[in-house]
Amino acid sequence: MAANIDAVATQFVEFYYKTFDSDRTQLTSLYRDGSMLTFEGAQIAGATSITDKLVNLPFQKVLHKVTTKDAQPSSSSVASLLVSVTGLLVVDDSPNPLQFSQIFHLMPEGGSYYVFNDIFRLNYA
Amino acid sequence: MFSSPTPAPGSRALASNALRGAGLMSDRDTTMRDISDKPTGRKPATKHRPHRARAIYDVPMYDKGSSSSSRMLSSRISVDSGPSDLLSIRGASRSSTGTRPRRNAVSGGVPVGVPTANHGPSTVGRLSTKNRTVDHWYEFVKKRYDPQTKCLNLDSMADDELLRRYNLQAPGSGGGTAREAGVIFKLASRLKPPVETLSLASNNLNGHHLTYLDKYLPRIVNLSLQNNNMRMWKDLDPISARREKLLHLRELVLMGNPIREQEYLNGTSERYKREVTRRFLTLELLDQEPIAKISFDVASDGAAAGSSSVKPPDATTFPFQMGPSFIDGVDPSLVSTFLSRFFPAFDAQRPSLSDVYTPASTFSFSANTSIPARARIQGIQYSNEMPNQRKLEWKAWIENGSRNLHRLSGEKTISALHIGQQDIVQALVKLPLTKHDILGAPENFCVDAFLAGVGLLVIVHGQFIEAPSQGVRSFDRTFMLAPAPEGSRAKMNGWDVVILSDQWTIRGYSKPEAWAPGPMLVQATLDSNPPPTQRQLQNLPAEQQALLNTVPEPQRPLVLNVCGQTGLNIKYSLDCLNGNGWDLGRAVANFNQVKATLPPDAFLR
Repeated sequence: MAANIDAVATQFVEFYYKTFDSDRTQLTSLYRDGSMLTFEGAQIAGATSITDKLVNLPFQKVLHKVTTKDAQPSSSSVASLLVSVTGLLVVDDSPNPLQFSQIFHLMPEGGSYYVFNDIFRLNYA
Repeated sequence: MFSSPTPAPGSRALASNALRGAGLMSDRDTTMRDISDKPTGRKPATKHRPHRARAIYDVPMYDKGSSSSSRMLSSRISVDSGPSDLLSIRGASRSSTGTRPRRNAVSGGVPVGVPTANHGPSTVGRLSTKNRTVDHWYEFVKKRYDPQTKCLNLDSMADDELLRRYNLQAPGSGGGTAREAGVIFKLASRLKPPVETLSLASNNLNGHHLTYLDKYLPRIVNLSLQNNNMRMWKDLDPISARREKLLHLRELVLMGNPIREQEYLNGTSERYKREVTRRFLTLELLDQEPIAKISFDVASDGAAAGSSSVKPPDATTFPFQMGPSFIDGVDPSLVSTFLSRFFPAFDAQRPSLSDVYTPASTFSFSANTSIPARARIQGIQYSNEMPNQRKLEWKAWIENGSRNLHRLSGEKTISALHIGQQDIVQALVKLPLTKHDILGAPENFCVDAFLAGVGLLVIVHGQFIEAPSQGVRSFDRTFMLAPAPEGSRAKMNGWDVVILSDQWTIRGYSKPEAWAPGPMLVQATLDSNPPPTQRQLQNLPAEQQALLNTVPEPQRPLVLNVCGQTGLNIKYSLDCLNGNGWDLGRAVANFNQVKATLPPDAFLR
């Protein structure tokens, strides 16, 4: 079970940040209407609003550098998983990366997964 | 089955009280920190503005070569900017200026739309078509120019009777392109005295139309592009000082353009202002408001010199509000009860935690061994105040199964995921002993908690003391909790919840101010900007040299002196001198006070 979860998490994290860094508008497909983004203590519900929030973050160019990631099943009844990531956020080519911690709560759907909860904090230095 | 969390009325207040009760939050956390008492990088507090504007206009030495007319604009707008100014700009194109004294700049009025008597088709009949066209354009440009105020009013060109009569295509809404606009700008460059203020309001222009503006009118001081179609940042490239364009520009109006209005709709007006000032280094007024600049004017005479006791701030802010702890859709006392029992047990009696995990629970941890940049700048790992930091080692964590999927793969990741209370407790007891002071200083922890379909998601950021070194580490920990079933081991031992999933990231210590609510702190660039060499000063980047050339010659050595001593670029050196009455000593002392708050692009590279 663990190996499968790890593969899903690795694939997901890679795809998510690649999409985020190249074209944030494309992130919509990873969320659903019932999805929730908790961004610095503010909750944003629904794929459209979440993408809006992400697209309108105060930077033009962004690069995520993952330092750690880990994944676990989040429930014994549903094949959902929790992925936690810490890393660096390089904004607009600044020499001082911001540091972030992000948790994805992924839900299975068909043969794939979507982000049910996304908890982001740009909160340590 | 996954209902969205529904906040109970007043749940925020409840959450706050419970957290405070549990020592997880202080009163301070409920309000944003007051940023106004700190130098704040590119976003100084509003209270500096009036002072700042005065500082610019009252310093007589720094004559940037602008004539009195442009100053009048600046002072007028900073005094009575309001809705009426918008009206007066729009009104300008409708000859409605009769009752107003003529103003000197973009918001001033020039009567238009009345062709003058001594021009008519008959007088140009013999000229070639091309020349005739150019003459018609010139006639139009001259008609729109007020030499007295040096203001060229090209508002609503498509509505101009003259252009219609000659069948000329006004740029933008009249169907004309960058070429037509170029012709106009070129003809405008012949006007005497030279154009200082240019209004291109209400023409449906985009950046393309401005392609030749700098080529022909590089010295304009005030530019209005109000009510046009500037949509993207690249629309500003043809006029951006970053690209060495319009280096004398002091005022810019972009109101009524999608590029501005969209940001205001999105509530990101600060970002808009920041992006504009980044592109227009010389700008003093944007959309009729003085531009907030780095507060070089903080120095008071007494404090400026030799105040080495003032500790320079070690962080600058990013225009981003950090949120306080967040608990929603769940009884907050449930969360604080859990945390205030879990962590003491984790610190003192890990085996007892087998009650709160289930046979299906999972636990794993990963070590983020990178040294946080700001902690490095602060020198925490070698500081005398925290002598134990240098004794911390990662070995115990790495050897006991750090499950960082970014580093590991295969079998190791599987053995590092612990399933069931027995396996979990065995793993926990191997890890270094900890002390989480969860009931101590509340600002040391930040909690997010809410219902997440299958359970209650609780995310804790905070710090703990590690044994045996007694050094401090920071951590992030994510729990998925579920109600403890009646009759379960957890319930019988007094736990209301069980842990389904527990993921822990252990990382190098950084001070808790990093997640305090309020403007986000980012790493400063202290001492990473050595003063430029003489050689660098002699080979200034072109746009900096161009900026320097806008300063009267006798003042240039002073500017270069500041650059040399501080490493600031020309723009910031000018700001610094302006804010300190062109007193070199004060300027440098002031720089030393605020240098850690300056953005990297304040410095010469």
